[in-house]
Amino acid sequence: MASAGSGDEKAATVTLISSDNEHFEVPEAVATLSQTIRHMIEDGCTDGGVPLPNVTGRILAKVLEYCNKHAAASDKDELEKFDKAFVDIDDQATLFDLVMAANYLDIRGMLDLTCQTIADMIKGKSVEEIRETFNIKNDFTPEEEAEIRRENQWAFDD
Amino acid sequence: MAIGQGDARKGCLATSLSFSNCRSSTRILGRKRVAVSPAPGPRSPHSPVRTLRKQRSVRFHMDDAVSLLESLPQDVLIKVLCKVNHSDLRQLLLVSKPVSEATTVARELHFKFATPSSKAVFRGDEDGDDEDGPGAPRQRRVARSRLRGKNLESIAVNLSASFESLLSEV
Repeated sequence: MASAGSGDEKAATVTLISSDNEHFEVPEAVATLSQTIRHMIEDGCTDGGVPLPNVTGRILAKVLEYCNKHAAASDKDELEKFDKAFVDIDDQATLFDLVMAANYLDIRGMLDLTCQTIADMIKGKSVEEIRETFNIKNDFTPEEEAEIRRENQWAFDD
Repeated sequence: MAIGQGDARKGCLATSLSFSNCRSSTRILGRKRVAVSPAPGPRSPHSPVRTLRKQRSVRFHMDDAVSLLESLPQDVLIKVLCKVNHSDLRQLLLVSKPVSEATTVARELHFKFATPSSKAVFRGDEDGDDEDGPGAPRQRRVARSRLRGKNLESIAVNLSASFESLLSEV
């Protein structure tokens, strides 16, 4: 199998191993968009591959799609278009998986992008609508609700 | 494509979530493929039992459905909430307890880095347009004297009178 990155070959690569044991050989320049992986490469502990127990192969493939595009550092408009299409996902579960992966791998741009996408799903909605969108159960008693409304009236008075 | 353990669970959940479109003839339960006849009518003594069992397990998954937003670790949830508009924070405080907690933290961060946009509507203002021309929002934060309207006779003392009586005693 391919060995993990050592500097002598043409372009240094690193092997990332997903939770379901899929191997992805990735150029270091791409992988280092993840601060987590960058630190590991700097510390020299990537021999034999980097296991990522919190990320499945399916999600890791998407993450690398993002990293590949952004590492190529193309035109700003093109990146914007790409980002918009990247988060155009019907499946909430995938979106949340991407947020978690971006957080775990510490990929700033992707984390901002995915968090903003979720925030956009909240904007302008009423309390009930928010609960419905995210399948949240109301765990407040009517008294607790009334108290929160009271406590926060002044804060939202402008 | 071989289905590993982790994927099988996800496959189950994904299947149950799209259960309303049941048109295909197979479902993946655990690691086995289970043939499901689309028509509910029993064709053989075995199929109703199998269908029922499957329906029960699917319903079990749907009741179990968690809120993905609430299963985010709190620091990530706060990052998300920092990106909503200030006016949305008010709604978020009432959604549920964990969301409310994260919102409280996010709100402080909001005030640090962004000015909330001004609203034209005044809370509790029945008069509509005020006599105050510029329509400045009413300041209710001015401290009001606690003594206003209170009867002070019980606690007030005429000092000069008591002083005089003191002097006369001496």
